[in-house]
Amino acid sequence: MGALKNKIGWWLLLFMVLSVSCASVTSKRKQAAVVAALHHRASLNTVQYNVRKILTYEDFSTLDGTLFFEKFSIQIPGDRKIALPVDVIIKSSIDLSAMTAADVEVKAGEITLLLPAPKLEISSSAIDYSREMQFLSWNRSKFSEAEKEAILKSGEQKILQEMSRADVMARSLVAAYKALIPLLEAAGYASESVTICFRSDLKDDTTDDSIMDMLQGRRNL
Amino acid sequence: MMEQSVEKHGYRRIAIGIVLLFCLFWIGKRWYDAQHPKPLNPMEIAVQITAIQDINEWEFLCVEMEEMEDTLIINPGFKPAYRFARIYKGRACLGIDMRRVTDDWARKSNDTLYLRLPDIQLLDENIVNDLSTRTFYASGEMTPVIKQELYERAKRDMRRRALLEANVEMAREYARDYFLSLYRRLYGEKENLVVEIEFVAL
Repeated sequence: MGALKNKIGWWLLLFMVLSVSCASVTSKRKQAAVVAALHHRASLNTVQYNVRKILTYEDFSTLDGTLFFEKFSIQIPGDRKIALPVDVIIKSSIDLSAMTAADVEVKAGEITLLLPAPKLEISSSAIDYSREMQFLSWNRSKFSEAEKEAILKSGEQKILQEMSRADVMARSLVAAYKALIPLLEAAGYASESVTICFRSDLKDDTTDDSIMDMLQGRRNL
Repeated sequence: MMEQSVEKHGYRRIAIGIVLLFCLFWIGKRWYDAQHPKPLNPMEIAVQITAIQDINEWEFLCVEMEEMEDTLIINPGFKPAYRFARIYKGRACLGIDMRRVTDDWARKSNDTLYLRLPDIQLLDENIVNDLSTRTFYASGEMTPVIKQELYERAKRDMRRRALLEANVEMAREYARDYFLSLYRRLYGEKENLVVEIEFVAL
């Protein structure tokens, strides 16, 4: 009995020594970054939109199965919800490298430019982790990191789709015009002799008639 | 007395059996949900635009990067150590911000066009696309403080790698080539135009 007590005592002592620690220690080990791609671009960014969105998700637990060849789904009481605030910067961009010689027409001192339609791209995004919220019923588990990432990933595409429906294209067109005029004036063209058009792949409902009048009629904005 | 004891034990056994059945059902349900994950689509997506800004940025080089950041937290006492690793994606765009040009940025003299452009810079300090972040490993619960720290580290590292001298010089070459071809096209290929471009740190 005495020998056993000694053995236990030694093991306890060893355990205590190993578990003592002064403070939390954080160490970091860096992995080399992988530069995925270097893209040569010639794009003109005309408008920047700062967008804030709270992505929310709710689900209920269900009991699914088949009984007598009939599928059934019974909702089990208890749900869980999550809210993820996201700040996104979206830029309206015109890909000038897609222009060809045929898109620039110079005739008798007047110049006409045919530009590709502006596109919206997510420039960067940041999640406000400190304001993330979850609401759980007693019988539900927390959202895992993988689930949160899936919600954020699907939210990314939906934010862009929603922005495309908003009336942002008209502003992008006007901003592009304002950006290009100084360059053309530096080349010796008067603003009155400049015509800027956008390709017909623009949807009609994204362009306000008054904006088109401004672009094609009045030169001074 | 004996019968009461037997009855009491019987009820106890039934209660334990019910609890065990419930536990088995709960474990089975968790396993089934893990094997058959459902797609998680956010509920509402109405976007709120908090600011709109007209910008005039010319992008010439885009550097897409992935960066893995990890951290190890050793807790005092009997708590196990926590290890977290996340993979961040980002895009750094190098180009010219034309809002910074001075009034005399373009000057034509005979057949020579002089352009004085702002030097190549990182067009936006916000590089990381946190919506695409993936957690590679997490041995405990990742608090917002840890996530924010890893995010800031990824942002700093991506910025440093994007602003390598080789990348900046490449962007300058692309910018020079682009403006040369642009103005040659505007003046017409027949004219013998010389375009001189100077990048100035403004």
